Amino acid sequence: MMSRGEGGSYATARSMSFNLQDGPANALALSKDNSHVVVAGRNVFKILAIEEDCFVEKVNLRVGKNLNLNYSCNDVVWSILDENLIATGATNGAVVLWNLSKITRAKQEHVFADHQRTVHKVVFHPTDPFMLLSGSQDGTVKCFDLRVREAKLTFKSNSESVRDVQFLPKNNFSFTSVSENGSVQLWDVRKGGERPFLTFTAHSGPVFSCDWHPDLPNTLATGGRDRAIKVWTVTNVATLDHSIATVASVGRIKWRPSRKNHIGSTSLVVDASVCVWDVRRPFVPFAAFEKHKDVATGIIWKNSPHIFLSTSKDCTVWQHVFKDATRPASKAMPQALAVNVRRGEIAQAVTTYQSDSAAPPRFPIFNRKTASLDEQFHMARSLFFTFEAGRLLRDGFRVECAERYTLIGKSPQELCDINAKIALSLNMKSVALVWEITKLFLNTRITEPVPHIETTKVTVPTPNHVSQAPPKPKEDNEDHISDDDQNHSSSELESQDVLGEIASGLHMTQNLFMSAGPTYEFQINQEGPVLPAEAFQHRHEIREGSPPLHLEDCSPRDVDEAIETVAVENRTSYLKFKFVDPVPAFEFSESITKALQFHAKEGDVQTAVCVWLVLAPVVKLPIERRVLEAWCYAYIELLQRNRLYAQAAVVIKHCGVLGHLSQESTSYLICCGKCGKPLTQKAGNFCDKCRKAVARCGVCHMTVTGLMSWCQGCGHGGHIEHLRKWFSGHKECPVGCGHVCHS
Amino acid sequence: MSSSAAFAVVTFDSGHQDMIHDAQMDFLGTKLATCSCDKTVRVYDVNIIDGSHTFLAQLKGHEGPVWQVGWAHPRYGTMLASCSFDRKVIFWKQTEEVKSDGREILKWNATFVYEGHDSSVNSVCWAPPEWGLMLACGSSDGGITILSFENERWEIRKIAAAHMLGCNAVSWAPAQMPSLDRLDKQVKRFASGGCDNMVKIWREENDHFVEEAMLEGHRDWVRDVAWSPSAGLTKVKIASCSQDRSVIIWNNKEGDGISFTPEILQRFDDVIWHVSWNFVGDVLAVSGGDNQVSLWKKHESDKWECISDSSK
Repeated sequence: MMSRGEGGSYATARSMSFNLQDGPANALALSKDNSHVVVAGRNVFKILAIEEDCFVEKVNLRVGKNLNLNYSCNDVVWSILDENLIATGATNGAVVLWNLSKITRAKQEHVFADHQRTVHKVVFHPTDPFMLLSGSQDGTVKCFDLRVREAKLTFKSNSESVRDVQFLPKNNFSFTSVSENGSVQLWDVRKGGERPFLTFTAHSGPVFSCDWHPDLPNTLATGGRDRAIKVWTVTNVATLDHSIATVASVGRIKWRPSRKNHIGSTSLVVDASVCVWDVRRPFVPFAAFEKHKDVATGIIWKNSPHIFLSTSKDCTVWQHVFKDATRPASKAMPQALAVNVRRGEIAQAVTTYQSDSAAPPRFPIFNRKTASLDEQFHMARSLFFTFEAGRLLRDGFRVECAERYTLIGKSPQELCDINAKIALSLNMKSVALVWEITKLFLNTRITEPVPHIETTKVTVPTPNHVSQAPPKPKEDNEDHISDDDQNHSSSELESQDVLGEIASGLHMTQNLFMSAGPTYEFQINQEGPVLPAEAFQHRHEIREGSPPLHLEDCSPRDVDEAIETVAVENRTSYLKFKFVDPVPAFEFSESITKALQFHAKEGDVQTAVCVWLVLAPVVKLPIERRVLEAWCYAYIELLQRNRLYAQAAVVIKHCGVLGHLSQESTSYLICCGKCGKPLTQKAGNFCDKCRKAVARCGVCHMTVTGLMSWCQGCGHGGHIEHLRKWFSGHKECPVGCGHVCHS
Repeated sequence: MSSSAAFAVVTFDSGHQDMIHDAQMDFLGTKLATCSCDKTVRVYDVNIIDGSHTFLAQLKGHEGPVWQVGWAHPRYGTMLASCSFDRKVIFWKQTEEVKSDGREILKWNATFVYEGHDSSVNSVCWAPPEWGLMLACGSSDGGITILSFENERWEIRKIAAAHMLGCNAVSWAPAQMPSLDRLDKQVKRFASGGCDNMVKIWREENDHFVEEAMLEGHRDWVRDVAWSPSAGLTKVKIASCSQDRSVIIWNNKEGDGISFTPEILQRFDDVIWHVSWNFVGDVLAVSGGDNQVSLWKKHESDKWECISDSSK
């Protein structure tokens, strides 16, 4: 980083403004000692003193009897060597000299009327106090000798208009001119006005401004209407080093003193802010100053990299201090994060500040200490990568399930069975259990009216009680159960909490239905009414194990008594069952509702919706309609996101609450029967092209809006009733086309 | 540094010449859009099987850094909105053109450019598809504009001075909010965050959007706001992150949509730039200045826990 004396007054300097009142300003120039600024425009020409915290108007140069066009300034420059000398370029082509040491109020010293058209730029020679350059709309650059008060040389550019001229720093004989045809020309004053020693095209479209870097040799910046600031190394040829893309056409540019890569710019249109760019970061300004209300027309650095002045079409002069700048890049989001729901993937882009692009590490830790913030600015690049977090993000929705689940077309029990197997095959134990218990619930529910069947439910014990039971009849069975229980506890702790008593039953049911080995069964009701075949099959299988015997064994008394008594005996005396009363079917539906709500809350709307859908034809679960709607909406959206449109359609059709969705994206077009042109909503049944009402009845000549019948032969038709009446007495077409429709 | 087993990292060349500010996946998870400081938006095709990315298009039209992009719901076609430092919001639409030789080429056209803001537009967010083609954008000029496509033209509704000093983020509430809106009438709502350190909630009322709630809690600029999806959930949550290095989850326990209680996820070591919910709204992805992504889930104990961290 460069470090030089940077304006000692920076600490105290502050942003301040001055309202010119008289009109918009076109240019400004600082006096040699930076204590005064001259501001010039079409209707304004003032010298302001720059105080600590304000501008003070010192001299108004627009005084005198005849304020002619010579006072209408396009550009102003203050002599570097003579602090009383100011030159302006006027819109009428005049280059005017002003002498501040004049005693009279009017300070006008001399008018050079050599240019034919508007003068865009005037500039003093950096070392020769008597040399003045001017660039004009007439396509020429003129060099004035102030001693003899005449234009000594005329340089004819290759263009209609010269927009900016500037002497090369540390070179007393050369200057550049930029012109509206996009070219930059370098001239040698000593060689006269014949031809430039270098010409190159810098921009497509007019170049409005140029500035030589004050410190770097051969470095020229140009700004053009093509919304670019270009930085060139100019030797025998010009090579492009950087190109900054600005928001709007570039009006003025000025290198920031003591900085290698910073350049200030103003826009010609649209953008009122003054921007300072780092040439290595071509898309975002390093700093922006947004004080002006209208486009800025001139900027000048106050001999310090931290303070500059600008003037604008909004009739103000501002002193800007760098500490008040906005830093667009600092506001910018340095990261991007995208979550891919479908793949369960996260894409992240992070900013790195590593200048060497070779093999950046995956998760870069940039070293904040080595590079200052200013230096970091230009090194910003983004690394983009994706990583999977599927299990974590996608939890609760399984595409395989959605594809394979059967939700309609079979009896609910069968559906439960099928879906439980699918869930189990996908290693989703808790979901499989929900299906199983749903099936159990369905079985019991269907047999509900028969009183003693209810004991089936009674006999489902809570596992802990089982394990506490004396290991009398079948130890291995009990071990098996408690093992199983532990397994499930570890894998489905959460669901167990919520499922509560039912959950404990679940494990039992899993034994009942899943495991092939001998299992518990407590109740057998041989005299029971006919149960659905499926349910019975299971019971039979299981019964083969031993439970009936076992139960009978462990309740030696009154085996022949009512089944209920047996169950109660079992519970109290031996297995310590908690259940006293038979659990009514309603409790089950409530528990299932709870289970579904739990799953939905955990984000698994899939299970919630699917189970509910299967149950829907036989039982109404106490779930609020709007909750249900929310679940269905969510599940449908998930299906749609995964392009499972058929499955989504099934849900929409059978959920019963979102029927309107199936009508939503359906549209139909009505066309004119004659020409095929689609009918617009506005015109109703009138075809724009045929200029006729469509679908007219051949009998009554009115438009048919309801059912219409027509002859396949001639194409004429009308209201069914009218035609029926007509053809009861006629055979020919009612329109009169001669076709015998009714033969 | 290595990545954990949960994070299989794939780096890919975005092709951008400068910092990337935003990346968005579309509804189907098959397209990715990125936008950058280099004034361009780039669109990639994401292979759903192996997750590889194929470059599809580069969208040029902005005249300044592009801050954010957003995909419209696919029922409205392949449509993308982008907002930029150049004060514009551009709506891009992909159209298919069949060449004479039968080849199909995809073209991206800027179908509409909104230039109603006085300063950089920082955020765009599409409304739930139920509301039609509707988008909210927040700008540094403090205003928020709601653009909706009605009767073949874009209707503009503006909230002036929504956030003093500028709005940084907007996020729509889902169309289905079980605990709010007990009436059948569905209300359009969105949340916004800004440089005034506030999160604000806006509700449509008589064709205007009015401020419904103002959530104070952050001590620095709010950088991102994310309204949780409603899927199966019963409580409304809004996540916001800020330059004060905190992430706040705003819980609407009452279910009235007005009284939100803040719950600070954690105070991090660095600025948090992004918060994003998973589809069901039970996992929150947080990414911060340390370039790490962490995933947070609320456990039964009622506490938010970090379930995964890309640095581990």
